[in-house]
Amino acid sequence: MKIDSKIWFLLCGFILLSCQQKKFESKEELIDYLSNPENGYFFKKSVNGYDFSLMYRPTDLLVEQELGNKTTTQVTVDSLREKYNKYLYFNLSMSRNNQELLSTAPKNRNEFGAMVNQLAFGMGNKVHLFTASKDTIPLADYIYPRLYGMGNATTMMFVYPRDKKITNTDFLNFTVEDLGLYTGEVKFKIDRKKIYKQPTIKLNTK
Amino acid sequence: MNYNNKSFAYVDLNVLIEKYDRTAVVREELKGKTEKLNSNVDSLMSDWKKEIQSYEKERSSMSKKEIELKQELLGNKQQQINNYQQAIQKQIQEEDQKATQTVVNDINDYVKEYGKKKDYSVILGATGNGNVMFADDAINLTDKVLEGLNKEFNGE
Repeated sequence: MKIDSKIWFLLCGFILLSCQQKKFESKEELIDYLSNPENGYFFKKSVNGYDFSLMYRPTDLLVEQELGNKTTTQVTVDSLREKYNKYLYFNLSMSRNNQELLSTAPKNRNEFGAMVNQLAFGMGNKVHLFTASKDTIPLADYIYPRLYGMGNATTMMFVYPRDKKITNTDFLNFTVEDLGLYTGEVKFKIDRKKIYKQPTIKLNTK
Repeated sequence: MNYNNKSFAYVDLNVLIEKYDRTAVVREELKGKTEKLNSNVDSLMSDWKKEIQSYEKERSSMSKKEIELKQELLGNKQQQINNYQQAIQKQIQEEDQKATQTVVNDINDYVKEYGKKKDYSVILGATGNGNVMFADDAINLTDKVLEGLNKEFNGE
């Protein structure tokens, strides 16, 4: 009976530890962790010479971005966490030979114009997030900052509401339809548990 | 290197592409697009033919100058229809290429995930062009992969 309770205690401890969220001292440490594909927050794929990558941005990364280096109260941190936790944030990067799509894909002025239009206004129709049972999570918004050829990739952030549908799925599919690059539809599979156990940052509080 | 059966397997890509449920879906979508595009060409062609017929009827009553102008007009129209037809053929080819790539991407992703999950070292893709000349049926994963692939696509 004594052995049984010991095993039970160890098992509970193990389960508790494995369910814990990872906590990082700084934003840089968190980004290092997120950038490792083994950790399940960063995905990379190459199709027909085009490189696609997707990174899930945990809530604390957004909170830290808003706070900067300021020391603040726990109440403020909590309210910011609540504010940003209502949404899921994904960074999608697309490139060819380490260049932005607009610098490599369009062959003439017309194609360039069409692609600018597509990237700036039409990505909502091309990028989709849906559950394993194909329930679509509607896009809340996306941001495409123009870098005018100065970036290594075309990067945009997609924001989705933390929908109830997410709780009933094992994984989420993030798909990018063909943007005229002959890549076909590119899909990333995100483990739902990873989103729920998203890592946090130790934020400066008074 | 000593590989056991577990670490080394193959899939028949032709079978996967043919029997993957999404292939039928994308083919159907492509068929719809192709029919729509071709019907545009057909209606342009029929208009052009009607114009030719009416020109031939009225030709006897036309002056030399009018005939020359009408012929030039009809010739230009024919050229425009030809250009449109070529552009449409190109567009259909491009759509076909994109659809095929989508199916191939899905298969690649699933085989990769399957291999990792089941701890395979290598999964070869046989295409019937001699890249896998002989393989024991015991290491043929085509059916298992196809089953999982279709389940995932159908959201089961």
